[in-house]
Amino acid sequence: TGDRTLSRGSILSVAPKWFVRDYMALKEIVFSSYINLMLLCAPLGWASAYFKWGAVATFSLNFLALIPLALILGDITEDLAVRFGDVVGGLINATFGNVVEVMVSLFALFKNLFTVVAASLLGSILSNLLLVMGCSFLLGGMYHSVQTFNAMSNRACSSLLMLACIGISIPSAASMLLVTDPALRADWILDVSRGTAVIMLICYACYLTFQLKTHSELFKGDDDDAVPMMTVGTSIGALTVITAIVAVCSEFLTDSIEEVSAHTGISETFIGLILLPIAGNACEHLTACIVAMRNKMDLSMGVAVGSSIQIALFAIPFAVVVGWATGHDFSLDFSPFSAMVLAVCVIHANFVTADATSHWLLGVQLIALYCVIAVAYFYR
Amino acid sequence: MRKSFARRSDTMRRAPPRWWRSDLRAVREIILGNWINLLLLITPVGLAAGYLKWSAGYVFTLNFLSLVPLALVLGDVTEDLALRYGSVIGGLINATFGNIVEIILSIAALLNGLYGVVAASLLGSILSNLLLVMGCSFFFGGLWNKTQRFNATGNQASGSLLFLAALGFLIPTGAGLLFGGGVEHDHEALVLGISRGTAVVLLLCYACYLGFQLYTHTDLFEDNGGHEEIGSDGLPADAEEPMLSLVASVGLLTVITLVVAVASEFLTSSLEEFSKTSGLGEAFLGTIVLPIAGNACEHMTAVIVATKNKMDLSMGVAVGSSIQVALFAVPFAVVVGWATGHPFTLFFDPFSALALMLSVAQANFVTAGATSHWLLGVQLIALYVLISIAYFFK
Repeated sequence: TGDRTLSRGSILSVAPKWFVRDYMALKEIVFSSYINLMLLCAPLGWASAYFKWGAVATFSLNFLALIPLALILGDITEDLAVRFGDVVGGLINATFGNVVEVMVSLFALFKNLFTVVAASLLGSILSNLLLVMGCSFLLGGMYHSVQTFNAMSNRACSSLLMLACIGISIPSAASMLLVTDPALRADWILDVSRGTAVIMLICYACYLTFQLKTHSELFKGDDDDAVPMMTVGTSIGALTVITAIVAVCSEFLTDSIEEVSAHTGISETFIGLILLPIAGNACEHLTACIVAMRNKMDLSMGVAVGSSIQIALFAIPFAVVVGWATGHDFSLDFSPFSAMVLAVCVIHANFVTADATSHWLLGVQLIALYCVIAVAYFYR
Repeated sequence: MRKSFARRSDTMRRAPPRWWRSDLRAVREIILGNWINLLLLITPVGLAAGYLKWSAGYVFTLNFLSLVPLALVLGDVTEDLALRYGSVIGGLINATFGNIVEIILSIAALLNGLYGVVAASLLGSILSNLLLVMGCSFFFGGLWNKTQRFNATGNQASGSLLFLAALGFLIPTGAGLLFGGGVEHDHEALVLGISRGTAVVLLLCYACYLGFQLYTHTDLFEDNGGHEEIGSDGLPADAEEPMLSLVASVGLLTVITLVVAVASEFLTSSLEEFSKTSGLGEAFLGTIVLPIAGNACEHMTAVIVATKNKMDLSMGVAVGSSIQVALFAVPFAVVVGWATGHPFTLFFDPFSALALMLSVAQANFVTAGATSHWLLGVQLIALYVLISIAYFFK
């Protein structure tokens, strides 16, 4: 009923009709950033896939198209979330916040590109935790000598990430160390992965309850004066259309990965771990850095850490469960090096944020760790 | 708990004529004080099952169930005895007998040559105290209290001690894996040597920990909440006087310890066969099932005091118990093996060592801020379940 009263009000007042306002809002969202120029890559990418311009062209064009799509998706989701209370709005934000990553990983899953799924999700965690957080510490630290953020929410989040990281490592570590018979290994990992996935999803539900209901004051941002720009119908419509476009781009993107890897000599793991997360995280990256420069560190940490938690506790177990339901044997069998890298990164991020203060040197440390890992994967 | 205190004070006021009569009443109070002690009825059946050589499933289950109330009664008697002495000797008695069931269980398995079970049950006991007991007390405490605080310095000392113990376990395992490649015999001798050296160092650390806790820094570990509770019942704080006479408590301790020893013997000797017939792996039985018997008592206490917002006491039970097992029970088993000619080493299977390491690290992260809420409890419990799943499917 909210939009009906709004539109009735708009008839009485001088404000334009709802579709005019929606149109103006959409126009503002699309034209607000130069990055959205890359939207032109979407039709080109599709044409490339259709007319077979080559795998590299298809991959690059669709990859570039995903960046503005993720950005617009984020804007519309936030606009929709403002309309509902903290709880439902928070849920919407959480669910659609990483929809690009989830889409890409699901399409890779359906094509049985399990290494790409695993790599892209791990890479997304690493990029959020190290690159995004590092950049926001660095850029924020250039304008402010020392910045502080909420210690308690940070601690709850970082130990949750540690839990997720142990959950992700247990199947790969245990299969190496516990199971001596290689014939039983695959089945064993699958059983353990599915059990682990269910528990991680339960933890994600607990995390949402904690964040949105029982301890919501820890996570509140300070800019609550936002007013929705679009009507519910338009937001949902736009969300559906953009999600569909994202799905098509993801489909073409994952289709071309194998060929790109064969053509360019870049390994599938590197593409999944380092390149793909750039597309999905560009939006979070921008937001986190901008708010860090405005010294809103709670918001910035919320974006960077919250996004990693969503991937670790939701997207990864979700991929396992979807694979379970659709008969794809995707398990949490990461390569031992990846599992170790994830564990070390989460521990390092915990050390860096333990004090609930940040400065530019901490940012440099996080970015450096990310670069070291990227180099290791590049020469793999 | 409140009920037992009230009854205890009634006993004291009436000034009973003979020591044996008051002892009898005290024993009755201890036994009737908790519904779980109904399980004591199983004890004779379990012992009979062991002597008459019933099937392994019965022997295991019955003796397992009878250990739960025995641990509880043992805890009550120990506390009563500890009251008689000052905080130092009393604390020592409490610390030594606090995990006596785990220790007897592990020694019984050691003497039966089940080295894998010894290692698994002791590691499992640490994991269960650190993750399940602490997790449950954070969770249930968090349901009643939004945010709870506990002593930061005491927690930090305990947390890093546990980390030290975990490193101590990791070194023999890591050395055994990574120094390997020599002659098989030399390799075993290497691990045995490292384990025994490590055990001695850990026992020294345990002595230092007791010195720290009971002598130099007692104020960090005092539970200032405990007396207020009794005060609310309208009784003075120093109403806590021993109920049992010295002879009776020492006698009871001896008798119960003997029963625990016999039940543990039957339990461990039926474990192998039970594992075969039930299809549950020895690692799962040792790591997950056995610690339940020894820890049920700590578990209840820690959760109850956490819901009453006495987090220092709750953390003391959960973390203190893990430290005792890690720094005392494990090296003690190595030393007993050394003395009796059983080459028990700290060469755990690599996954267990890794799981312990990660759990201790996670517990340190979770408790770093010296505050707790329900989500932290969920995280600890979830980690415990994750590890159980891995052992279950082994």
